[in-house]
Amino acid sequence: MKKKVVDGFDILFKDDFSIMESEITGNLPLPKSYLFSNDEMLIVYNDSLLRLSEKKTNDYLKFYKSSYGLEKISTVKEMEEAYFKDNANLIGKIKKDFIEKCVVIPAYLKSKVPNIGKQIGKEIAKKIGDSYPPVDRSRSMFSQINPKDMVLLDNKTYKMLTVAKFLEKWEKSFEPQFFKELIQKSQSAHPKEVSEMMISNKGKIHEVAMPIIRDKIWCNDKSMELCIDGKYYVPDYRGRSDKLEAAYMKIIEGYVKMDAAHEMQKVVS
Amino acid sequence: MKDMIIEKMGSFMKNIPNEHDKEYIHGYQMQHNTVMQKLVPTNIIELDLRIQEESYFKSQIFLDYLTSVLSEDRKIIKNLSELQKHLPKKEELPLNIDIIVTETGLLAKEGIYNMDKASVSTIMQRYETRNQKPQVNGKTPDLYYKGIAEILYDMVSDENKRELLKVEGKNDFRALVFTDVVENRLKDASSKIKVAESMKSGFLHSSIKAMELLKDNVDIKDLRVILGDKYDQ
Repeated sequence: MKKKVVDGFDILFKDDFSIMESEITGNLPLPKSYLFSNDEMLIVYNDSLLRLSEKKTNDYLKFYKSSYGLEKISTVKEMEEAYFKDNANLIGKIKKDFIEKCVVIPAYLKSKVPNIGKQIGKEIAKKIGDSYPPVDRSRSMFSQINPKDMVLLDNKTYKMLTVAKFLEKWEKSFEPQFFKELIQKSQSAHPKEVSEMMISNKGKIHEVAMPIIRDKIWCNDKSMELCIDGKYYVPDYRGRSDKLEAAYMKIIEGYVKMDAAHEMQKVVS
Repeated sequence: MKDMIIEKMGSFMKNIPNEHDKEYIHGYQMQHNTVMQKLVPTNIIELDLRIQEESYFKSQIFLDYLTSVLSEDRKIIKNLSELQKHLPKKEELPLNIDIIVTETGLLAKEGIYNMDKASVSTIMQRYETRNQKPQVNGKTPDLYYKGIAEILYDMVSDENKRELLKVEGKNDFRALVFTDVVENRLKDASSKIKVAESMKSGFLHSSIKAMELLKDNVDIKDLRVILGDKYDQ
């Protein structure tokens, strides 16, 4: 047998072991994220998680005949920490399985090289780094894929646009000077006032766009109003949450794999 | 009692399967989409009928039940589309539940909606096919769904609100809305009593009874009275 490891050395040659590329990029059987397994409407705002509450608060969501306060449950980061803590045993096993499937090395070498873990761990970490974006643990993982505020409901996502931002999507439907005045007004006014300003300036708005815009901002007392920190928001539909959830799980997955590779480097055979 | 109904209907709405996942962006807000995704099929939403907001969902549910359970005839849709061509296109949308139920009665007079024994057997089959119920051990209704339940609560008149507690499936609710609309349209007290009594035999039965009685309670003159000078012919 050709001997590639010399006793007393603590290195492996590249062709002594192989790393399964398919495992580096493959899915891990991680538990579903807490963020996307929530059963009720969740509002992600400034990296905080808000839910509807019967308590009166300055922040509120109102629609039809109901008006609810918005209560902070936790930050997204806290929710992520709880996810890792609650699932520590399972994630530990997933990491171990990942490393085992990832590295193919002859058994006799495992006992020959004292720092085998350090060297292979480095190699794995490098490959993970090539396939996954880096994770900044000083902030939530969710914020690293989706920095914008949003509403999550029934596997759907709505981006929270301020009334002014929403109006900007329709800029071409307005007479330019009136548009500037309307944007100015919408910075602080209640959506009802913005809507009324549009009604009293009908001639300055495209007639087809007018009801579409008003229906979203405010058209009667039963319209939806979302108010946080004194600002009014229009929930703007962005699609099913599957893609967002997959992107989020990818971040978590990359972090777990990288963590497994780092842990491996600490283990001395 | 209202709290009980809201709790029940909130749970119902949260746990029934969707009719579709389509989100209608223009003209609708989040809560409207929830109601439509849960209860109204896309072939009804996309009819392009201009319906007054106050009776918008009620009208959709009425038309869906009429054209997919009580009958499969779509002449009502054709007639309403034709009718709205003659109504002014103002922001205040012209079609409403009064016009729809009156037109339904006029078509019933023409014999479009047959409620004989053979037809009822087919109706029963159609009723059961789309009478999806909430999943067993479903989720507790959250505040958003309680808010949605308020919309359903208001679709039924006061005298029939208690019936909401008996709703088990989607067609139970649709039949209740249909019956309630027709009952309010009936002119003579004895017909109203007959419908109210038929409620004891279940939602399907009462909707069939309401349909039978409707044809004798409408006249073409009613339509002219409802439309008044809005109709341009």
